[in-house]
Amino acid sequence: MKLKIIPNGNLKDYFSEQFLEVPEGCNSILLKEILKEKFPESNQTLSHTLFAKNSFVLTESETLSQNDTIYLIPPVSGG
Amino acid sequence: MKLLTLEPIQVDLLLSSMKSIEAGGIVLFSGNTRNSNQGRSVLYLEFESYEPMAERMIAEIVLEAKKKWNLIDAICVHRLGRVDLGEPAVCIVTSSAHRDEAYKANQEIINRVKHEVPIWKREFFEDGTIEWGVQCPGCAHESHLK
Repeated sequence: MKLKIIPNGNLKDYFSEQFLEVPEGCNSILLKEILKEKFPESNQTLSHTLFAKNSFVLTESETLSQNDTIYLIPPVSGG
Repeated sequence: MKLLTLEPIQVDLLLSSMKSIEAGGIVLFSGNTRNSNQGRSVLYLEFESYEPMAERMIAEIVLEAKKKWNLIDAICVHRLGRVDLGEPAVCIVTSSAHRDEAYKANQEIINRVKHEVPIWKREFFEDGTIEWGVQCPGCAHESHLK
Protein backbone atom coordinates (compact mmCIF):
# COMPACT_ATOMS: atom_id res chain seq x y z
CA MET A 1 0.00 0.00 0.00
CA LYS A 2 1.04 3.60 -0.43
CA LEU A 3 1.76 6.21 2.28
CA LYS A 4 2.66 9.85 2.04
CA ILE A 5 5.72 10.62 4.14
CA ILE A 6 6.44 14.16 5.36
CA PRO A 7 9.79 14.70 7.08
CA ASN A 8 10.34 17.58 9.49
CA GLY A 9 13.34 19.26 11.11
CA ASN A 10 16.74 17.88 10.23
CA LEU A 11 15.22 14.83 8.55
CA LYS A 12 14.58 17.16 5.60
CA ASP A 13 18.35 17.19 5.07
CA TYR A 14 18.15 13.50 4.18
CA PHE A 15 14.93 13.09 2.21
CA SER A 16 11.95 15.08 1.04
CA GLU A 17 8.21 14.62 1.12
CA GLN A 18 7.30 11.57 -0.94
CA PHE A 19 5.07 8.58 -1.45
CA LEU A 20 6.34 5.29 -0.13
CA GLU A 21 5.20 1.75 -0.83
CA VAL A 22 4.91 -0.35 2.36
CA PRO A 23 3.42 -3.78 3.16
CA GLU A 24 -0.20 -4.12 4.24
CA GLY A 25 -0.48 -4.05 8.02
CA CYS A 26 2.52 -1.76 8.37
CA ASN A 27 2.85 0.05 11.70
CA SER A 28 5.22 2.78 12.90
CA ILE A 29 7.90 0.28 13.93
CA LEU A 30 8.06 -1.30 10.50
CA LEU A 31 7.86 2.08 8.80
CA LYS A 32 10.89 3.23 10.78
CA GLU A 33 12.84 0.17 9.70
CA ILE A 34 11.86 0.70 6.06
CA LEU A 35 13.00 4.32 6.21
CA LYS A 36 16.27 3.37 7.91
CA GLU A 37 17.03 0.94 5.14
CA LYS A 38 16.07 3.41 2.43
CA PHE A 39 17.88 6.39 3.97
CA PRO A 40 20.70 4.93 6.10
CA GLU A 41 22.41 8.29 6.54
CA SER A 42 19.42 9.43 8.60
CA ASN A 43 19.46 6.44 10.96
CA GLN A 44 20.64 8.34 14.01
CA THR A 45 17.80 10.85 13.79
CA LEU A 46 15.25 8.21 12.79
CA SER A 47 16.07 6.27 15.96
CA HIS A 48 14.63 9.19 17.94
CA THR A 49 11.78 10.00 15.59
CA LEU A 50 8.08 9.67 16.28
CA PHE A 51 5.40 9.22 13.64
CA ALA A 52 2.20 11.24 13.67
CA LYS A 53 -1.09 11.13 11.80
CA ASN A 54 -3.84 13.73 12.07
CA SER A 55 -1.73 15.62 14.63
CA PHE A 56 -1.41 12.71 17.06
CA VAL A 57 1.58 10.45 17.57
CA LEU A 58 0.99 6.89 16.44
CA THR A 59 1.21 4.15 19.00
CA GLU A 60 3.15 1.01 18.10
CA SER A 61 -0.06 -1.02 17.91
CA GLU A 62 -1.74 1.22 15.35
CA THR A 63 -1.84 -0.12 11.82
CA LEU A 64 -1.40 2.30 8.95
CA SER A 65 -3.85 2.52 6.07
CA GLN A 66 -3.61 3.09 2.34
CA ASN A 67 -3.01 6.78 1.50
CA ASP A 68 -2.29 7.78 5.10
CA THR A 69 -0.19 10.92 5.45
CA ILE A 70 2.48 10.35 8.06
CA TYR A 71 4.42 13.22 9.62
CA LEU A 72 7.88 12.42 10.93
CA ILE A 73 8.64 14.12 14.25
CA PRO A 74 12.37 14.13 15.04
CA PRO A 75 13.53 15.59 18.38
CA VAL A 76 12.16 19.10 18.67
CA SER A 77 14.01 22.38 19.20
CA GLY A 78 11.49 25.16 19.68
CA GLY A 79 11.51 27.86 22.31
CA MET B 1 -5.23 34.73 19.56
CA LYS B 2 -3.09 32.57 17.30
CA LEU B 3 -0.62 30.43 19.22
CA LEU B 4 1.71 30.15 16.22
CA THR B 5 2.44 33.23 14.17
CA LEU B 6 4.64 34.43 11.35
CA GLU B 7 4.23 38.00 12.61
CA PRO B 8 6.28 39.62 15.39
CA ILE B 9 4.81 38.90 18.80
CA GLN B 10 3.25 42.01 20.32
CA VAL B 11 4.60 41.53 23.84
CA ASP B 12 2.97 44.64 25.28
CA LEU B 13 -0.43 43.64 23.95
CA LEU B 14 0.01 40.11 25.19
CA LEU B 15 0.86 41.36 28.67
CA SER B 16 -1.95 43.90 28.85
CA SER B 17 -4.46 41.30 27.68
CA MET B 18 -3.72 39.33 30.83
CA LYS B 19 -4.40 42.06 33.35
CA SER B 20 -7.10 41.24 35.87
CA ILE B 21 -8.11 42.70 39.23
CA GLU B 22 -7.89 39.16 40.60
CA ALA B 23 -4.25 38.77 39.54
CA GLY B 24 -1.71 39.69 42.20
CA GLY B 25 1.11 38.28 40.10
CA ILE B 26 1.64 38.33 36.35
CA VAL B 27 4.80 36.72 34.94
CA LEU B 28 6.03 37.32 31.40
CA PHE B 29 8.72 35.19 29.78
CA SER B 30 10.07 36.28 26.43
CA GLY B 31 12.52 33.92 24.75
CA ASN B 32 14.45 36.13 22.32
CA THR B 33 16.90 35.48 19.50
CA ARG B 34 20.43 35.87 20.90
CA ASN B 35 23.39 37.12 18.86
CA SER B 36 25.64 34.20 19.75
CA ASN B 37 25.51 30.51 20.45
CA GLN B 38 28.47 28.63 21.93
CA GLY B 39 30.86 31.38 20.88
CA ARG B 40 29.58 31.70 17.34
CA SER B 41 27.87 34.78 15.97
CA VAL B 42 24.23 34.23 15.08
CA LEU B 43 22.51 36.31 12.40
CA TYR B 44 18.95 35.09 12.87
CA LEU B 45 16.81 32.02 13.53
CA GLU B 46 14.10 30.30 11.58
CA PHE B 47 11.35 28.20 13.10
CA GLU B 48 9.06 25.70 11.44
CA SER B 49 6.50 23.31 12.82
CA TYR B 50 3.91 20.66 12.20
CA GLU B 51 1.31 23.30 12.87
CA PRO B 52 -1.91 21.40 13.67
CA MET B 53 -0.13 19.25 16.22
CA ALA B 54 1.94 22.12 17.63
CA GLU B 55 -1.11 24.35 18.13
CA ARG B 56 -3.05 21.58 19.80
CA MET B 57 -0.15 20.70 22.09
CA ILE B 58 0.55 24.29 23.13
CA ALA B 59 -3.13 24.75 23.96
CA GLU B 60 -3.12 21.54 26.00
CA ILE B 61 0.08 22.44 27.85
CA VAL B 62 -1.31 25.85 28.78
CA LEU B 63 -4.64 24.37 29.89
CA GLU B 64 -2.92 21.75 32.02
CA ALA B 65 -0.76 24.43 33.66
CA LYS B 66 -3.81 26.59 34.36
CA LYS B 67 -5.48 23.71 36.16
CA LYS B 68 -2.39 22.48 37.99
CA TRP B 69 -1.32 25.90 39.28
CA ASN B 70 -4.81 27.36 39.70
CA LEU B 71 -3.97 30.22 37.35
CA ILE B 72 -6.30 33.04 36.54
CA ASP B 73 -5.10 32.96 32.96
CA ALA B 74 -2.18 31.89 30.77
CA ILE B 75 -1.10 32.17 27.17
CA CYS B 76 1.81 31.02 25.04
CA VAL B 77 2.60 32.32 21.55
CA HIS B 78 5.43 30.96 19.40
CA ARG B 79 6.90 32.53 16.28
CA LEU B 80 7.40 30.69 13.01
CA GLY B 81 9.58 31.74 10.12
CA ARG B 82 12.52 34.12 10.43
CA VAL B 83 13.12 35.71 13.84
CA ASP B 84 15.75 38.44 13.89
CA LEU B 85 18.12 39.26 16.75
CA GLY B 86 16.39 40.62 19.83
CA GLU B 87 12.95 39.58 18.66
CA PRO B 88 10.84 37.24 20.80
CA ALA B 89 10.65 33.70 19.46
CA VAL B 90 8.26 32.64 22.18
CA CYS B 91 6.28 34.52 24.83
CA ILE B 92 4.44 33.12 27.81
CA VAL B 93 2.30 35.08 30.24
CA THR B 94 0.84 33.54 33.38
CA SER B 95 -1.33 35.26 35.96
CA SER B 96 -2.38 34.10 39.39
CA ALA B 97 -3.55 35.46 42.72
CA HIS B 98 -0.02 35.12 44.12
CA ARG B 99 3.33 35.27 42.33
CA ASP B 100 4.63 31.80 43.21
CA GLU B 101 2.12 29.95 41.08
CA ALA B 102 2.59 32.33 38.14
CA TYR B 103 6.39 31.85 38.21
CA LYS B 104 6.26 28.08 38.50
CA ALA B 105 3.58 27.66 35.87
CA ASN B 106 5.43 29.92 33.45
CA GLN B 107 8.62 27.89 33.78
CA GLU B 108 6.75 24.63 33.41
CA ILE B 109 5.08 25.84 30.23
CA ILE B 110 8.33 26.93 28.54
CA ASN B 111 10.09 23.72 29.54
CA ARG B 112 7.31 21.61 28.08
CA VAL B 113 7.04 23.68 24.90
CA LYS B 114 10.79 23.40 24.27
CA HIS B 115 10.87 19.64 24.79
CA GLU B 116 7.53 18.39 23.53
CA VAL B 117 5.98 20.59 20.85
CA PRO B 118 6.84 19.80 17.20
CA ILE B 119 8.71 23.01 16.41
CA TRP B 120 12.18 23.02 14.87
CA LYS B 121 14.77 25.78 14.90
CA ARG B 122 17.48 26.53 12.37
CA GLU B 123 20.37 28.80 13.29
CA PHE B 124 21.94 31.01 10.64
CA PHE B 125 25.50 31.92 11.62
CA GLU B 126 27.66 34.83 10.53
CA ASP B 127 30.21 32.43 9.01
CA GLY B 128 27.59 31.30 6.50
CA THR B 129 26.77 27.98 8.10
CA ILE B 130 23.24 26.86 8.88
CA GLU B 131 22.46 24.32 11.58
CA TRP B 132 19.41 22.76 13.14
CA GLY B 133 19.00 23.72 16.77
CA VAL B 134 20.24 21.49 19.54
CA GLN B 135 17.72 18.76 20.06
CA CYS B 136 16.83 16.48 22.90
CA PRO B 137 16.69 12.90 21.61
CA GLY B 138 13.66 11.08 22.83
CA CYS B 139 12.69 13.64 25.44
CA ALA B 140 9.11 13.63 26.65
CA HIS B 141 7.86 12.05 23.48
CA GLU B 142 5.62 9.66 25.38
CA SER B 143 3.51 12.61 26.44
CA HIS B 144 2.33 13.05 22.86
CA LEU B 145 0.53 9.78 22.82
CA LYS B 146 -3.21 9.77 22.54
